[in-house]
Amino acid sequence: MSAVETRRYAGKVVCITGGSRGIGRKLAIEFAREGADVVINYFRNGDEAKKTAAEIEALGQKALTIRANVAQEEKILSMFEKIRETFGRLDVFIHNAASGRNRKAMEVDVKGWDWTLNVNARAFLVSAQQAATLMPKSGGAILALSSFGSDHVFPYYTTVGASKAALEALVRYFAIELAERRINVNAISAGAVKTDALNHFPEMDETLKKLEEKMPYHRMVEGQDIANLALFLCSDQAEMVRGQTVRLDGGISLVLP
Amino acid sequence: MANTLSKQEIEEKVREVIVNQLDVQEADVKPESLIVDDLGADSLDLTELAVGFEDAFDLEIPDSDFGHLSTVDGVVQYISQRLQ
Repeated sequence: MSAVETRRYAGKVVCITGGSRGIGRKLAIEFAREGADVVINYFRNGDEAKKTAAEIEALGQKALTIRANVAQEEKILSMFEKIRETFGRLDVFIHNAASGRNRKAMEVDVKGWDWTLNVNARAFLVSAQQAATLMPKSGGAILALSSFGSDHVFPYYTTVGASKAALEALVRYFAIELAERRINVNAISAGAVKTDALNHFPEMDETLKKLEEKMPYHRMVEGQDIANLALFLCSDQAEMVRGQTVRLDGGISLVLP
Repeated sequence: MANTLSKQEIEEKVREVIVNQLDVQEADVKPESLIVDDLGADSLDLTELAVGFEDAFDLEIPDSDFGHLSTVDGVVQYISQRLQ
């Protein structure tokens, strides 16, 4: 199903971490399509960030690319300072950037733990604090992208899973604390997402076909599904959905053991 | 950054970054060493290495370039070209 053609974000400024490619890029484009000016944070993919920015500008919206390693507090603070200088406000902040060193629990090292927690969870803490100060009195929205690893066990997913659990907890605390300021905070936990990254695996078409047969709705979650939910959760229409981690998986988590 | 560094200075800086980031012995870092297979870098190490080289040479090295560099000498050649 394609996005409903509305302009819920006209005149608003949206910042997306990890916004140069994949799901972040899709979010950036869809928010722009609904009228938002978009800040695209990137770290290692400047060329992709420029392409995404050009696409947003072709939609008639402003795009600002900011390179920042969100594992570093000072880089996050500089990013928000640049947003303040450029737009003077922020209406929606989305923490999509994620990273991790995949190891078994007994093999997790402190360096990998620190990196993963810093990018996936601490960056959200620092960014949400900054974003809230830039949001107008009329309110705003903060959204985090989580994963099933927060409450399920996947091979080698130890550190990322723990970081996502921390992220979801932060979402709940910010949601309550910022409710009085009309800032809504939620998370999306998407599973079985079809992204371009899967194209790199051999025989993926056949594998995906088999997986889709097992799914209750017989298709994978796509970037557009995540964008549709994000556009709703960050809008006034979702004002009574607060501090929630919404599963977006076509129902697969209900039938898996 | 203007290229005021000689090839040897670039090599030395590259080796220094690798030794610091990967915690390997300097003697093990040879021009033909494969960064992943010989020096044991994983994906996080590669990110940190790229950032280490960027800081050392005041360059932005996108993943689209860095992903093609597999050996120590490959990194030296790439940085030399970028600094020209």
